[in-house]
Amino acid sequence: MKNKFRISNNIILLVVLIALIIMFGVLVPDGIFFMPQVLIGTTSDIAYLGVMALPMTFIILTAGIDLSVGFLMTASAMVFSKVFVATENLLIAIAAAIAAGMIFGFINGIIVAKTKIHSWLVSLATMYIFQSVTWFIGGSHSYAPGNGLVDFGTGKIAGIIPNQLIVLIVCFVIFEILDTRTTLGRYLHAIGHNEEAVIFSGVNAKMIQCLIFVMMGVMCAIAGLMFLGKSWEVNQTTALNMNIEVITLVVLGGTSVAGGVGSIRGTFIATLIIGVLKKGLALMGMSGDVYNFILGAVLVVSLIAFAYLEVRKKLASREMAVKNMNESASAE
Amino acid sequence: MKKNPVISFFKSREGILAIFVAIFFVVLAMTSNLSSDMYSFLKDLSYMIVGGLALMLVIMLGEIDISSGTVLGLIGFFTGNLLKMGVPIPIVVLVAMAVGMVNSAVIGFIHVRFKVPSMVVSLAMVKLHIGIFPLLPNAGWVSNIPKEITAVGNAKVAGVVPVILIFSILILLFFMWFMKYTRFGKKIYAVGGSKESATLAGINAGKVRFQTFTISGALLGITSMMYWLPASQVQPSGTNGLEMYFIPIAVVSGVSILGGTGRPIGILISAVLIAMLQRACILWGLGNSWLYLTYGVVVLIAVYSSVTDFSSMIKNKQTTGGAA
Repeated sequence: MKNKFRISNNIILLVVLIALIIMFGVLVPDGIFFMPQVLIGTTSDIAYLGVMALPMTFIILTAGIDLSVGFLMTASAMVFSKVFVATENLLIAIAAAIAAGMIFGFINGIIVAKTKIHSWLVSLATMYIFQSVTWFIGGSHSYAPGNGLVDFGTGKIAGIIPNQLIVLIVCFVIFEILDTRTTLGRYLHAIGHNEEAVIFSGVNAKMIQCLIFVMMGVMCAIAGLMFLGKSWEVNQTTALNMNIEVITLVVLGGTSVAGGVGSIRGTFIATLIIGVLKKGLALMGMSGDVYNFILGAVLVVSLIAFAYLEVRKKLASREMAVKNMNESASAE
Repeated sequence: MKKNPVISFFKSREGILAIFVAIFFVVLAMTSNLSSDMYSFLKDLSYMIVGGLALMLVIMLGEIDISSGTVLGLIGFFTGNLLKMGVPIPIVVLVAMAVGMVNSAVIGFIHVRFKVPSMVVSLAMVKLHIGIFPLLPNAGWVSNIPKEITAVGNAKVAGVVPVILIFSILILLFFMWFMKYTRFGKKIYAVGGSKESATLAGINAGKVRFQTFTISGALLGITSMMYWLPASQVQPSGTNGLEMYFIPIAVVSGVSILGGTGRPIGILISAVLIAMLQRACILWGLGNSWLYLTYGVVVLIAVYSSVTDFSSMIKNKQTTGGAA
């Protein structure tokens, strides 16, 4: 029953994706949207968001949320630039950025795991702290990456497939395996459903929560490198409201903000949808504000739609309904 | 054994905070040129009090409104245009409250009806507020607001005290009465403390949540008026991130993020604290880096203290790890 529901969920998303591609293909003049380099190129603008949305799916699966992702990304990207300027060595700079992301993520994770504060509030506070880190490191300047990174970030295999997409797919495969084939993935779903039961069955749920925040930090650092490679520079305003875009990808992918329900596959398809939407609107000559508005509307609509589906699902299965009622009673 | 109200005040969280604020105020006044900056300090304070009250109501229910910064710009856009057209200020204030109420009512409705956490809904509203401008006629900055109107916003009493500060103190006094002596105020505490208990006691918890969100929206409308009235132009993106002030004000004042606790008098004290921190970063020339760092650390400490203070009361709530 459950499995069937999840598959149909992703199929709906695929239908939306194809419908959007056809719509923009017709609306954008001269049919340039159907050209392979444009169509596949839609992913290169959004890949860095998709990379951050993968671990965010894990966090939201456990009924948490991370608002600090955008500034975490900027802060580690700035660490990269700073180290690269100092050492002129690409590998050392990349290692420094990923280490920085790991530390930032660990700060989030340890506070969430060791205190009773809910993760949205922890990450709201650390969002300000990471924002201050970007000001400490960057001042009012923006930093350009090394040429090696830009060559990779804007490069394409065979002139069609962007390197950014390759990175996204590699990360997607890793997280998909983690989600569906490992104990960690099962624990994540279980924590979202009932954290107490997971703790009582002998699993260190707090450590798992800390671990996924560290994962988030590392992926944010990678996303920061991808962003630098794509757009040449980061500054303090780059990451404003980026957390909303990442959360939109996850929620559109069918992950319930109440925890427990969701899949990495859904997030991946949602990433492709938003990529097509962003590029299509840009090709139609719409400003970024229209994209912002549509993104907000997409988030609201998908929240309501999935909440509605949840209610339907509860009504459909009496057993499920009783279980969910017990859950919500204990969760409140 | 009648308790001395003065002593019991200084033993409470607000009292300890007040002592700290007083010390900080003296230090700030001695080390910097605060007296010459007093007017802008008080002007900032007045909108922070009302915005903090708006967030206090929401957080008291265990909810949050992250869009409370961006909505001020949207309201300011409407009110700025109306002021330019020569609509009298009282009517414009009502319009501002209406716009804020509509916005918060949308969040409250989606939250109550579809049981979606208000945090995610308000995140979506942030994007909608930023993105709605191209869809409106003559969008963008509203400039050249007549001098007479900005003069009203900048009116002072006794040289330094802005008139809008007096209004915000009046609103604060009203809410001190409202939360303590009205049925609805008690209902907010009850629903925030425990939704189930409140429902069993015969309170329509969903309705109270929706109405509280609406009241908070009206307060945000007033906040927006206080923010934009003294300004000669409205730049809607200028208020993006103002929730960075309101959320710390609410949590520092002792409003527990799990809901059910908090007093309006605490808002006054913590609003002074936050306004002073902001002013200190300007006067001491520390810049944005220290400002953001301070707010982040202040939020963490305030929330940590409020969670651990009441840990015995909220144990059952916490161990389940549900979305607060």
